[in-house]
Amino acid sequence: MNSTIEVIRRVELPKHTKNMKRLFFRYPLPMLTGSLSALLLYTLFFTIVVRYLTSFPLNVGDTVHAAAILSLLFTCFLIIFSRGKLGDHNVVGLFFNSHVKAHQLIIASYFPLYVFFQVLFFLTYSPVLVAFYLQGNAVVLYLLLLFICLTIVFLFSLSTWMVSTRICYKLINKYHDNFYLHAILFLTLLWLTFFALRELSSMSGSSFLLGAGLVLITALSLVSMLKLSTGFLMQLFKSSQNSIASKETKSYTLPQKRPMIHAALDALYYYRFGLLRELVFTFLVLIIVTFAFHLMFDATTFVYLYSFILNIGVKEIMIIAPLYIGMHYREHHLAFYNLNDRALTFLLPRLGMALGINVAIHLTFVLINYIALNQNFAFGLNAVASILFVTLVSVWVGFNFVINERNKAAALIGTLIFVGLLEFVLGNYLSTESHLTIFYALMSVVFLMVIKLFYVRKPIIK
Amino acid sequence: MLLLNIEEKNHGQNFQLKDINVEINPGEITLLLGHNGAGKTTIIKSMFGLMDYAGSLSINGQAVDMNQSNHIDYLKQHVAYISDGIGLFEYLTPREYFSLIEKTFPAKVNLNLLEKFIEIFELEQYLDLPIDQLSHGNKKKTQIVSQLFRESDYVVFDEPTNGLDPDMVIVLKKTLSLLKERGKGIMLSTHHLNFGEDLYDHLIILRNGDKKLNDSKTNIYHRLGPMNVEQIYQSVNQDYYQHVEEVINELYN
Repeated sequence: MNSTIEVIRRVELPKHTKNMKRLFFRYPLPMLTGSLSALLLYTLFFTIVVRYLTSFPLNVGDTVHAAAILSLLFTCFLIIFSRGKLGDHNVVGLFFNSHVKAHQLIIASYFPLYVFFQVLFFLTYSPVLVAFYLQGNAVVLYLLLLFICLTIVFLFSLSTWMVSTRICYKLINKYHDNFYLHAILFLTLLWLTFFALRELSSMSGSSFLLGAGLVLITALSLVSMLKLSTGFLMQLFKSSQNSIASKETKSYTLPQKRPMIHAALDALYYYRFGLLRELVFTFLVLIIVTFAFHLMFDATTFVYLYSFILNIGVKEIMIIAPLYIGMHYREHHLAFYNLNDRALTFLLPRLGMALGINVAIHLTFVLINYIALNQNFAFGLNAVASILFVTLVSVWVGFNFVINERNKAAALIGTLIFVGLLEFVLGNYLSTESHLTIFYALMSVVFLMVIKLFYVRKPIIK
Repeated sequence: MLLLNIEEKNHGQNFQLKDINVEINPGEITLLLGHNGAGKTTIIKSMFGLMDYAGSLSINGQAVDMNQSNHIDYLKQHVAYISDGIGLFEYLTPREYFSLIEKTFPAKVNLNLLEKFIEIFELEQYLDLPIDQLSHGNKKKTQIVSQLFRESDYVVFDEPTNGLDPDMVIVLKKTLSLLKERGKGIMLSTHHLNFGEDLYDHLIILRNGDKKLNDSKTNIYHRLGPMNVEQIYQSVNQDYYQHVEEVINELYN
């Protein structure tokens, strides 16, 4: 335990505080504006939700059920998108040059993500808790329950990820990163357990079996974490070495014109870094979830859930591609220096590509649901403006924050929350769709100008 | 001639460069020597506008202002920069990367030179592997070749030998001699004393940001006599080596 705390204190915390300090010193104005805007948005969100929830009696059972699903969705996303976290050479160095045991290193490395998850969930659910309090319920108990349940959910998700990693290795007996098999196995194990617990609770009619099930799950998670951690970590180290093994690829002929060269570079970056693979996978999961909800719930509930998936799930995928533009620029700034191009030659093809991908994602999703599930096909100017806005905000996040494999998941969720809050608040204050469209378009232009002025700067570009 | 004059450059709280003049002449090699943290990379980054400083830069008589697009373009067209870090798009293959540089500087590349460099730096077998799958040495070789087949007037090399095997260090030395013969002005920044021994025409030695020596090979010879680079380095850093000697002697006793 001491080593875990030491790693958190000496490695994880300084890393994050250093990043935040650097950001505030380097970009004081955008950071201050961003922080104040986020605070304002959250306050507005909080007020609107509390006002709404206190207008009718809250059903505790439904709230807990919704919270459980949401927390599982969050952790799935966080764990899958943080899978590269421990393959870093710094982690390898720390493990082989210190007394830190594998499980201590894993717990310490995932601790910031766990804190992020708790804070995020607390902020999302605090209006509900306040509404409970105003309706005369004992909030302290809910708070405690929420904290314990979230800890169990996170612990269980992490240990399930480790179990699925080991199963994948046993099944294919390779240190090769098999993303699809691994992620599908992880999601299946996690959600099967969730549904089993839900059935257990509804069959028995009392919460005793559910409580016993949770205790069992916690114990299993702890044991599997202790037993599997060394094998899991060594497997990660070996697969990161395995990926270095030479594998010949087809060299493409790059186009002649500058913007086309950048578009081609961006396409190769998406393709060879496995970004497209992540996009396709997340999209397919979303489609399966939509179809599953269609089968499981009645028409009214499904319409509500469909709107939730369209506004939150699809947006989450839309954040991925644009986020990489800033990451790409930051990681390769010396290479871009040598290309001797202008800011817009760098930016516009990439923005076009990210926007194209996002429009395609939105269109394909609504089209599939229109054909298969007879949902409304809504795609107008407002949708395009909203996609443009999400794209530009994500591009800005990618430029402003140092995002890597270790914090990518947190950046994705953080951006989603920011965009979600903004859209929620705007939806409450702007009365017509045309006003929203104009606002999105204007804000997109503002973000583009901020990116060009503050981030894509001379002398990296000319 | 490339002329960099750093009047003052503060980096952090404890580091300062003052009155540093760097001169790179066509057909000559300037060797920049110093320990880790002496200020070599700071000078190079200042030269390329990657760090702010008080001073000036001129290339072939034209002053370069890093706030003007056409000036940055001029600098990049005339000076090739091979950084200490691997500044490549590692998701491309070396073949794709060379083609990218060729398309970026269409009027200023020598494809015959590229072909020969690929051969002597032994990169043929790696041309179709993504750069991130190459060893550090092969990445470095890809970076070196990608800048050397450009027909730039000047080449600035930060730590050229990092990651290179003994064969490649020898090949690089021969290549640099060839480029010097062809009239390129070259600056080598290194902490390896032997690498520039036979190559240099001008020597700059730094210690903790202070200029200890900045002179031509001929003048140094006249001043200090027949000394190799290591001896010159020790001679201008006398105080430091005297202190080291005292500490070592204490340990012996």
